Amino acid sequence: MKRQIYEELLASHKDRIYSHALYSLRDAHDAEDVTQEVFLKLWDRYESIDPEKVGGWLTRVTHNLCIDHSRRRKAQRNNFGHPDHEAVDTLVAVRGGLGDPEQNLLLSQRQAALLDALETLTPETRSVMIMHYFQDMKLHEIGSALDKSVSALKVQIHRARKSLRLVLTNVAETPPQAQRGTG
Amino acid sequence: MNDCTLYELQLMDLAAGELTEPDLGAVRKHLQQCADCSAELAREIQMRELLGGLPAAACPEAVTNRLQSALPLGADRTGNGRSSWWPAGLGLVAAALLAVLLIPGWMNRTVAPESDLAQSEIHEFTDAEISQARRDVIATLALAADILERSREETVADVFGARLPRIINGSLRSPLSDAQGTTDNLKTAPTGGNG
Repeated sequence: MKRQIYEELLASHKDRIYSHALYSLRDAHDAEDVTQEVFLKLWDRYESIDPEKVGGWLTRVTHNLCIDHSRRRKAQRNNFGHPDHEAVDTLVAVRGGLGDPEQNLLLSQRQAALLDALETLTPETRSVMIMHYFQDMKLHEIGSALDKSVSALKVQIHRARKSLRLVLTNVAETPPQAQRGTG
Repeated sequence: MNDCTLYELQLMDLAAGELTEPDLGAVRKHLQQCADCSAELAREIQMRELLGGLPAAACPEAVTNRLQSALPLGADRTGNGRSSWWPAGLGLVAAALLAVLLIPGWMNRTVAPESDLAQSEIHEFTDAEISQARRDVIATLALAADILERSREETVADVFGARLPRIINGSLRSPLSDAQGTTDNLKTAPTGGNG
């Protein structure tokens, strides 16, 4: 494989892969590990990947690695404490200077509360939610990457949204000051 | 409720603007009559706004750097890149640089009689020996640069060949080595006239 092609793929996909891992795992170190592992796998297996499907391949590998890391982290949590949410929380809290600061604060707090709630989902569903809502991937794109049907994905997301119903209702109704310290 | 089950799965498409007629009309009509599905649609829209509005994260430069340094320097290697020889090559270069740093100080010292080396003869290096040592240091640095450069294209055997034993056992050999075996740990290959 040409190194140049690899570096182009790295440059064009690294932020997407890192963001997917960061919001799925909510831990910057784990996200870095996953990103690194994804691209090392890409280097190792590039010859066997259809060039037109590299994006989907990267998505699937990221998804699978996020699940693996989540399970591993859950197993380790009893011994080594909790994941480091600081990087994600800071990223969500610190926004550009555009817009009303109070609205930005409210949005950040709602997002943080929703990210907390997403941790109650299975790693697999959480990753799918990130792909669909954050990365704006169409269901058929996710289905193609994960080898799942669109209807199965719809049901999965629908159930997840239902399980988050209470959180979504709360974050919609609670004023920003009262939400401080949520999570 | 059965009606709701049918429509709920279409709310995602509706929120994404991907629902087309005749389904679009049917869902809208149902929403006018069903508060539960209207609330569900509101949650779907809220989910899109909250998760879709998360800031994108930039992959840290350190990750990119680690990835690039983990790959072989050769441009078009196939197969398992991580099995490349280059980390070993860098290790050898580092060893050479370490030798460059240590040997001048070691050669300039005077061995104290009460030291562990008391049994050996005290050896003062001549100016010529020190100059030779300096030339060897420069040659070693040049070799290190050459190794790094050639590592982009060649294998360990191509780069090092028989040169490494000659350099280590020959040019860098100290006059004290026979008496003390001080450089024994540098003799990594049997070829090349060991003393």
